[in-house]
Amino acid sequence: MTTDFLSSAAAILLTVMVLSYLVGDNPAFRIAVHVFVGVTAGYVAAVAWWQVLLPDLILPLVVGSAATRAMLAVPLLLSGLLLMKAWPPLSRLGAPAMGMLVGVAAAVAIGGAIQGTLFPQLQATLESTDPERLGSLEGFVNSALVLVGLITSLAYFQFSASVKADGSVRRLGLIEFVAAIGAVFLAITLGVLFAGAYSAALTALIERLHFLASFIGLG
Amino acid sequence: MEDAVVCPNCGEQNPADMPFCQHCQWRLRTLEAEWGTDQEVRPSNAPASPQRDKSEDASVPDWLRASRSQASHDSAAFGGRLEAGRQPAAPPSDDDLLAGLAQQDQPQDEEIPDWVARIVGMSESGSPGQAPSSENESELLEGAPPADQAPSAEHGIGQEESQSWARDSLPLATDIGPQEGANRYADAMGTQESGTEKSEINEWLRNLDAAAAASPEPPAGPGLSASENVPTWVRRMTGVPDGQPQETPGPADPVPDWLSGSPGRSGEPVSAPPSSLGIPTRSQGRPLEATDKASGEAPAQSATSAAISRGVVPAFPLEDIQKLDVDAVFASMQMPVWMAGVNPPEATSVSDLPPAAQEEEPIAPADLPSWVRAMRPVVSGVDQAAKLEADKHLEGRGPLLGLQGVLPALPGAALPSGRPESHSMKLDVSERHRAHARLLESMIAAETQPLPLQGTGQFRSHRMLRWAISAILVVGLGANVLTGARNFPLPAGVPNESIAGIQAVESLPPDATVLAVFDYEPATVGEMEATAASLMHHLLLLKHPRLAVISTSPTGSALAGRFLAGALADRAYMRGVHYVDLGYLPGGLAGVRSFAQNPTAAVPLGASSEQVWDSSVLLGTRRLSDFAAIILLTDSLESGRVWIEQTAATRGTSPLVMVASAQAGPMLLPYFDSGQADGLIAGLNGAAGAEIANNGLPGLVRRYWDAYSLGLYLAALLITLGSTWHVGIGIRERRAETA
Repeated sequence: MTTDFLSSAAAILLTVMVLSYLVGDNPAFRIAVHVFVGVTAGYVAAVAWWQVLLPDLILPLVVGSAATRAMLAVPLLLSGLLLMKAWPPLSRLGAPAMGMLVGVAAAVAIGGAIQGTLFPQLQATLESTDPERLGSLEGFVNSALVLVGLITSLAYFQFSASVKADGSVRRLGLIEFVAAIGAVFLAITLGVLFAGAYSAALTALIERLHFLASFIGLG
Repeated sequence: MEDAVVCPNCGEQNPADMPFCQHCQWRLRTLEAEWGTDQEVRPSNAPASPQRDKSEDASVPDWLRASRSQASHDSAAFGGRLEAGRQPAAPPSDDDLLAGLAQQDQPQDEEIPDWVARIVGMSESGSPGQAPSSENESELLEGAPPADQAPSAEHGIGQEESQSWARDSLPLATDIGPQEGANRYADAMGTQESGTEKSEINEWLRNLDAAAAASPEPPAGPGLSASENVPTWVRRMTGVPDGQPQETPGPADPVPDWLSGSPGRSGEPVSAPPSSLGIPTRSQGRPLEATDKASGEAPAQSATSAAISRGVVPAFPLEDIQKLDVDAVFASMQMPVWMAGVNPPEATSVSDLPPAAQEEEPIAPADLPSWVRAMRPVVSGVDQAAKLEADKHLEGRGPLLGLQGVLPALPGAALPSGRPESHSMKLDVSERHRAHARLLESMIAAETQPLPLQGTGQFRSHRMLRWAISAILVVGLGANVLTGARNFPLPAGVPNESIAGIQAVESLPPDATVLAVFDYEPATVGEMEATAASLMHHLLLLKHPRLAVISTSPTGSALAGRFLAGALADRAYMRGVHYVDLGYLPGGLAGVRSFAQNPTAAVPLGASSEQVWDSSVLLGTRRLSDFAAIILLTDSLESGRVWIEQTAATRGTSPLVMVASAQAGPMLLPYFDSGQADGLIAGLNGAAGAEIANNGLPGLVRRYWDAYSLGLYLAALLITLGSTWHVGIGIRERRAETA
């Protein structure tokens, strides 16, 4: 009971300190931010030690077999070189490990994007024009919106233009018209994203208000 | 070439020690430099000059140096004759190498031009008829012009050519005595001047005439008796007027009949020879006036001068000559003895005449002696005539504009040089270029215009507006939360992706192993727990799955424990019994890929370093496809995309259901539409359908729904009011601008 009360009181205090930003930047908000950053860093360090370094590196080196130790020599060496990045005179020693990380990440990201996003999304767009889907009015409208939205949105980002006789710079008339439709689709998309962000923030605010209300016994 | 001297006439380079240009024979050094400044310029003392010695050493041949020595020796005796009561005469010539030869005897074996022979032939023969009178001797000796004055540009011929033939003839005059040579020279020059104005002829001669009149009668030279052996008719032919006692022919003079009717015979003065013949005579030159003066008459009152002033009275009228049969006349006439040895001149050929006698025609090059030709420089390949013509080029630009012949025309000067060709600086600007220029100018002008500063009142209004919006939301939502009002029902329509997600969960076999990925941050805990609670509650309630919790975020494990112990507390899921915590999955997408390929290798131990893969929860689960379903709880697009992409190949037939926040939901929806995700619960709206499907359990959606709905309405209202206010301000500003 006491622990829950203290934790709830700390949570209430930090919540108010963060909400104080509504009136502007103030020390209470800064204190809350520093507390959150410090707690997060400490927690992450603890997680990294207890959940990564100790079980995956230290314990196998200590109690593991020779083969396991040999296998861990490479990641141990790379980890040590990566630590050299924090020391400027020897920061160049961390370049191989950093290069390996970047290279592997890039390769994985590109491969995953091509196989997991690009090709499937292209296939889905092509399937939107499937005659079976176009048979119904809903399917036809949906497919038409997807196709029109895709083409017009891409046309919006076509910035090639020519100089007119009066000195103005304008795109081709057809491109201007298509791009205008694309701008509508983009505006709707940005509106949806803003609505999603507002909805998420609104839900978080409601949760905090319910927490406050429950803390004071009104919720 | 340090010792090179550029000729001021032709521009060619010559050695520094050369007194004359090798190309145009122009004097390269002044007389002062050649002879000295204070010395009397005489051939006799010329070798005393050091410069002269040097030049001689360099350019004068030995024979010429010996000749000069002899000439200087002879000039001493000759000078002694002239010193008595006579003004010092100017050297016959002092401008070339032949200066020293002015008093040297001409070798008999040298080749003499015909016209020179005709002039000096009488003296060479030594006939008495060639000897001038003492008066003429004295006059002409004094009247011998300096070499640098005798050739005048007014002669109507080239200065160079006139000098050449004059110089060539001058040494020969020494053979017949200084007086005779000067007389010949004066005759020749007088003949040349026949085509020019006589008033401009030889001003120096007039001056010398006056000096001669004032000087005493010079003694006759040895061997030069005055007017002896000279026929009277010859004297008359030379233009000496009658009435002169010393020149009046005696009655015994043999006068040809054909001369009896000549004007000279009648005693009228002869002033000019027939111009058509162009034969130089003494009557053409000013020395006749000197003769008059020597006779005691005033020059201005003499008959000769009067005749000259009245006009030209030819001694041999052209009409008479044309009428006469000249050959017959000469055949019948009795020639004097002194003319017997003279070959008949080929006077009919104009080319045979001396250069001064060739009127109206360019003077032909003199027939120079061989030794003179040997001294002349070899003519270069450049055409001298073309060079002279090029030297007359009129400068059309530059500082020498308007000047002619200032710069020598060098060979090859007209060829293209290394100087860059000049181009016009005028730009060819088209209308398109102007349009670009206007556009650029407008852009630059827009950049330079200062932006109006926003007043403090505007900032204050923004702050007040922010406070007002915050107050409306906090107060409105707080009031709804505190009051617990249920004015907004849950949505009747459930999104397709939510229905698909619920169906995917309901299709799982009971007691299956389900992988729950908690990839969201603590900041979105309120939304994510409310969104995922209904689905997870529905899953736990219906299927009682064994859960394996994992997260790519360090805080995911703690959030998972909070979720299971908080929102799903009624399901009483215990760690290690009903679920295992695989903890943090490091490496980002690489870690996800590694886990997708080999879960046991990527995460060998649990969050508390326990053996999870051998536990009852994960019994028989070694691969990703062994999980009955994967439920992804994420608040970001990146996390959802990574799990979709990296597990697509290893997931097998296991369904992937995503529970996303309202912010990431729209971006993850295409993956559901493409079939890569089997269900999507996005935001509180999507969770409402799941909660409805779960009979309103656990009830978080319903708890938040009124405040959520109120907040959406308030946001819509505020956006509408703000847009209306903005439109109103814009209209007012436009009206103000138009006013």
